[in-house]
Amino acid sequence: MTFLDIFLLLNAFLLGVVIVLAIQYGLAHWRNEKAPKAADSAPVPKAVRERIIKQAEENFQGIVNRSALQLQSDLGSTGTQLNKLLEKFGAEVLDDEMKLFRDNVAQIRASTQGSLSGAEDEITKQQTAILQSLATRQADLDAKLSQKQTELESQLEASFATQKEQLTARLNDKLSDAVNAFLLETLGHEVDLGAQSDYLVSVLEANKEQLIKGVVDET
Amino acid sequence: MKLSLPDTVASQQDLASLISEVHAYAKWASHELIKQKVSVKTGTPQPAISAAASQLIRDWSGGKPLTQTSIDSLLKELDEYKKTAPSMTITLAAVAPNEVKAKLVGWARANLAPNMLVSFQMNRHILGGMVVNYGSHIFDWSFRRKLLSAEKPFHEVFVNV
Repeated sequence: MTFLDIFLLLNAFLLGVVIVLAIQYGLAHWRNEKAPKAADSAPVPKAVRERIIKQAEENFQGIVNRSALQLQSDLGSTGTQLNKLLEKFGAEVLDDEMKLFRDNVAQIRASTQGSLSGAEDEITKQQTAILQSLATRQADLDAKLSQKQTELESQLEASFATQKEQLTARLNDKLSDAVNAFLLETLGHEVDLGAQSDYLVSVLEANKEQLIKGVVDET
Repeated sequence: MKLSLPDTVASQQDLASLISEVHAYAKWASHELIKQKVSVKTGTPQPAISAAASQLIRDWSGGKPLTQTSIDSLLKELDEYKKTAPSMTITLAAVAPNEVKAKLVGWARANLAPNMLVSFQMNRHILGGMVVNYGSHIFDWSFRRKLLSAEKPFHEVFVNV
């Protein structure tokens, strides 16, 4: 229970006391007006009685007025205090809320900062990985290009060598054909096989093993 | 008796001709033997056969009188020889004289197979030397091949001239 609640309960209690007193005075006054029938039989003279009544009314009026003034004053001070308390409580609540808001904002900012920092780290990591991958790929491409270039150069050299050999072979064939044709035209049909018979037998002797192998293969 | 042909009977054609001659002689000899049995005086002249055929018949009879059985066995042996004899072809740069043919055939029968049959062909483009065909084998020992496969290429030789 807060101080404001206690204060409001105290005021309500005082107000209840005042109301009870006022009711009692009212009832007493009402009973005094009905009493004359009994008062008629009282020994107090009427003038005195009227003077007492008037004095009582004036006292009552004075008490009520004072009470009203006091109550008014109390209410005024209560209202002032209430306003002050409300201002104080409002300020405290506002401060608490502001503090909470600032804490939340700071927390969110910290969280966001952490997320941003993590994202930046991740981005940096990804960039590093991509750069590394690109470098690796570039190195692979360079190696492959170099290898391909070497292979092409080798193939080109081999092709040149083959063409050179083919050209040389064709040249030799042409020259051989030319010499062959020349010998053919020169010798004509005048080849003396009789003179060659020893040479022919020596050729057969020289290739005897080869011929025997051929005969064995065929059989 | 093992049949041995003279070196002059070199090729399948020579052998076929020899067989034909022996057939003709066998037919004549058969008729003559029948006439002798029936005592017929008039005979027909002996068909002309080559020296190789005469030599072969003489060698086959071994100096004994010729009978129908021995002639039939000779023909049978010649047919078998023709079927089983291996054959090779020698290509020369010119038409080979008989002595050259006999020399080459003698060498082949002495060194490769005793019943070898050798055919000769002529191709002047080989210039000299020989090309031997045996079954699926071709041995080119011609001058043309030597020119084409010279160890020193022509342009190198020409440079040194």
